[in-house]
Amino acid sequence: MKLLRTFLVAGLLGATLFAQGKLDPAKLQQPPTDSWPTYHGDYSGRRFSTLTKINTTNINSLSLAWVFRTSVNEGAIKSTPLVVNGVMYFTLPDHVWAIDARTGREIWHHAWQSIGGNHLGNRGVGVYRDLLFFETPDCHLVALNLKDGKERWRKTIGELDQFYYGSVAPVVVKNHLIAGISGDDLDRSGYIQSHDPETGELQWRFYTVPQKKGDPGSETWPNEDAMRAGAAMTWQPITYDPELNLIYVTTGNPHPVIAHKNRAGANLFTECIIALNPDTGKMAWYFQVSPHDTHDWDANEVPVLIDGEFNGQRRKLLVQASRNGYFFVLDRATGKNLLTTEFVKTNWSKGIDAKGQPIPNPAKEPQLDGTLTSPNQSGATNWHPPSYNPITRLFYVAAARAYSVYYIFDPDDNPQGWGGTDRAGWSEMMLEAIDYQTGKIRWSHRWEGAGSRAGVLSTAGNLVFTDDGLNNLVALDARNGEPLWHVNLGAGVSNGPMTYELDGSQYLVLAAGDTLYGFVMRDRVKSEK
Amino acid sequence: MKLIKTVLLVVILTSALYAQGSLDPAKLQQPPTDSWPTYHGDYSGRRFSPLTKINTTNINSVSLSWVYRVNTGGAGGSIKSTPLQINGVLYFTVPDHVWAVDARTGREIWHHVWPSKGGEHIGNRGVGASGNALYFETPDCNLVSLNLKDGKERWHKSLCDLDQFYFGSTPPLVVKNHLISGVSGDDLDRPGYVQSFDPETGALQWRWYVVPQKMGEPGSETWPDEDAMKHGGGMTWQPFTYDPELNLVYVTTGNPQPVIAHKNRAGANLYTESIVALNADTGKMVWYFQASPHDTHDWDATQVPVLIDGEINGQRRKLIAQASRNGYFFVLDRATGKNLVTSEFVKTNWAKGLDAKGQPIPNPAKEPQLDGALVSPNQYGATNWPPPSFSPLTGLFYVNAIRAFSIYYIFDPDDNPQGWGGTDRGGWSEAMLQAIDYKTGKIRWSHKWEGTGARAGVMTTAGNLVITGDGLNNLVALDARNGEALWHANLGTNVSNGPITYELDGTQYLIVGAGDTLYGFVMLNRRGTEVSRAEK
Repeated sequence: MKLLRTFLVAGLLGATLFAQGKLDPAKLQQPPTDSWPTYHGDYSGRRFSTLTKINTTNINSLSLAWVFRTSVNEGAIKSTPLVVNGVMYFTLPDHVWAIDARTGREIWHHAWQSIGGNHLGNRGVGVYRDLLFFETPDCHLVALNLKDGKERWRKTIGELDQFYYGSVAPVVVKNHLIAGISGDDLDRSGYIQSHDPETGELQWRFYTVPQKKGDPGSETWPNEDAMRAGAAMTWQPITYDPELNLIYVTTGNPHPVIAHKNRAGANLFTECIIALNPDTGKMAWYFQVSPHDTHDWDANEVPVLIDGEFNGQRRKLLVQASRNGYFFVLDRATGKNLLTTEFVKTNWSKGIDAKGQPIPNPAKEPQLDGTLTSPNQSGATNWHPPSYNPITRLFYVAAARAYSVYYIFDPDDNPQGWGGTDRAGWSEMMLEAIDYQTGKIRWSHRWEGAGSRAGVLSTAGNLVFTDDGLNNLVALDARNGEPLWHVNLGAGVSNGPMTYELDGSQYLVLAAGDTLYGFVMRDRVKSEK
Repeated sequence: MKLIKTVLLVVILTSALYAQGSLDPAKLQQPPTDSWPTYHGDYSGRRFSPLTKINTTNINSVSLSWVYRVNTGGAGGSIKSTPLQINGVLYFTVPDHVWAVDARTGREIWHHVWPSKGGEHIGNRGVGASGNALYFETPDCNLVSLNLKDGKERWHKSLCDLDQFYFGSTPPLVVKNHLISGVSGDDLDRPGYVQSFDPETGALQWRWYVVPQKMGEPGSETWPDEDAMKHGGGMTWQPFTYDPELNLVYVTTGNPQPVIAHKNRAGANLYTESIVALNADTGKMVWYFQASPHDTHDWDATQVPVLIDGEINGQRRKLIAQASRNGYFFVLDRATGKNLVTSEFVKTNWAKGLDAKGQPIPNPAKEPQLDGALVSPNQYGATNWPPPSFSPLTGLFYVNAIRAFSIYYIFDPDDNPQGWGGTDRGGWSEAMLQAIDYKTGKIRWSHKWEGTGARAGVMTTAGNLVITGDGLNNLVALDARNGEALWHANLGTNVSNGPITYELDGTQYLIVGAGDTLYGFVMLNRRGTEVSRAEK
């Protein structure tokens, strides 16, 4: 049993020698190869791997290496696993696992004793040296030992009684552990905060809505009551530019969600991309994606950092394919808008203002007798992370073109909660490859199904991995969108796929429902003995 | 999305054109290639596929094609059934549930739920098929016929008496116009039997009792009295094999009752623990061979009676081989039942030797004792129900084997014990895949597993592969010639059935069940021309 024994030995060595290894901070600023040390693999949010052992010429030979089922009845795995020193860390609400990245065998499993909260999903963990961090539905930020999953400290990050909850993968930036906060239909203020990774001590908090009249952005709200109840949750992981020392935070919808009579104005800083200094939490700039949103189109989609050319000039860019159907390119040092285009056809805006922000058409705001709007509430895309490939210079995003009729249910002058909803109609889904320099769709691959959406990974092997809405994990040619390979996993891909190389073998890992699948490219058996 | 569109188109066409296709009876007598029409693939029980597209040189490139997880509404259930594949559709079971799933894509075509009245739900081995019909047994003692096409019930018949704690779990075998089905019982003091039904109507054709029903009947001389033999057990809980030329059905029988205590059943206890040849048309016994006379260790002799057409001592012969739970490997002439080879495929310690008929002679010192007796194998046995495989290319018989020690105790010292009346307490064990030369019973090679729980079925192919599970949740492919481990995939839970393979549209698939999930693997063409094509 030589072959298997070798694998087992490798597994055991991995567990004993490496599982206890700390994260080298330098890994965070390199493209991920033998590790995947943050939610997006690196700080850029590109979800691009330089690995090429799995590529367009051999994808049909990709082998299943292992299957790990979570069996805790907490729904689908939405977290992107981290891989540090051969060990994979991922979550479901209230649960964290460490498993061997080569074999899928469990190393430890931490179950959080929950006192409640919204268990809708958890995006994963952050890692700093020998510590791992995650958020809980009952509003805790928790630090565990990487080695054994034992708790090191816990801090409260929100008020459970106010219906805040934790779901975001925290991101470590230098000595800052940056954690967002979640809330569904929550009439409280959103914020993002930084903690000391060693002690959990709060370093700063940035409120995403003004807290009193006179604060910046308060001019976009009718009164203090409205803005303090204005929401703007920070429920997606941040990206970071170490040179500029800026973190990029995205914010969710204003509150009330659909009805909006009591919140006239742009409702800053809801529906924004915001650059913060990670040392101070002070805002450097903001860009509002959906001013005065009335469609639940959180602007929390990944703010992807691209170092590339724009109009012949090399620039530090930030791009977002937003839930409202628009694709934005900004200068990430200044927040200056360089490009705004639709990545699917929409019908809700009157045009673009001087800052590059769409101008909502009041006729497409929800109406008592309904108004046909596109996209629908789920949006032209959603939280599932897209990918940018610097080789093809294309931005890949799981997109939907969908129509809904938006209704106001609460005609009161001071509506609460949702105050309305949408009723869905026709939709179609596609993977779009967007030229970031022009916003033009280079290619679009339409899916047969209109089901689940998945994250996207692209690699230097010219592959794009995602889900087709019919439970298939699909690999497409990154250059032209040709589907090359697929496997039906019986459930839709529920997270962002990721890849890494260990011992010369490239692995591809993704979740479908409660199960994590590990694929590997093995050497073909060379010759017969 | 051309590729996927094409696949979908194929699926739709398949469903429309083929899903309703009936089973061509000729398929049952050919080595399975584009179908897998019986539990064992064909009547022989060899579980050998002549397909070669998946082979030792490319197994590392086998690709996962689909995953199908059964939904039993929360009841759970491990897939022990070997799926049948007929006209591009897979049919498989867990107790009270039958699924038809597209063999290319893993998409569900239909799901039949039997409204159960109870019974033992320990496992179901699958379905039989004939013409447009499919057959399965239920825990509540029914034999049920469904339409292949849509899973709608055609008829159901009572198979056994649920009130007496019989249950159904075996895939019925269709032989000509006979639907032959066994009955199951755990620790059941009732007689085992085999029945044949009309596949069209479900009318009973014959019943053969495993244990004699009254004094004077053949075998009654091996029981002390009529009461003992009528409560003697001998359940027929595993699928049969069949030789069309000899028109013989090979039935295997389980342990005598009481299981461990045995004072009230002195004698060999025929026809428990036997391989029995029955005439398929009449149900009359032609011969028998008893693997474990007077068993006291729960070593049902229900392991697959594999039909081998091969040479023994230079003579071409019709053989039947069994690696039995008691640790012995038997080769018989399948026309006469005459024993040709008896050997141990793992070292055992319970027999004093072999009798003139080639049957092991139990050592009374190794019968369960009040103060315990150290016995090998243990109660699980040197192997168990998971099916082995025979490859005519290598001439080797492959079986997942366990060498294990247990201390067997008598709990019930009464002269008339009931039920178990004793048990065993397990000790050290090791597990291995054994490749046995059927001509001599010698172990050609042995692959020891790291874990001790290897209980998966085995399949061999003309691609020189042995496919099985290792007890550490890995599906493993080994070189059939030398046992070298070539490839594995950790499925998170152990392989729980016998793997199968088939070729559709020129593509070879490999299907295996692990717990509640069926995995479909496939060998895709390597996209050798892909680079230039995609560059344009």
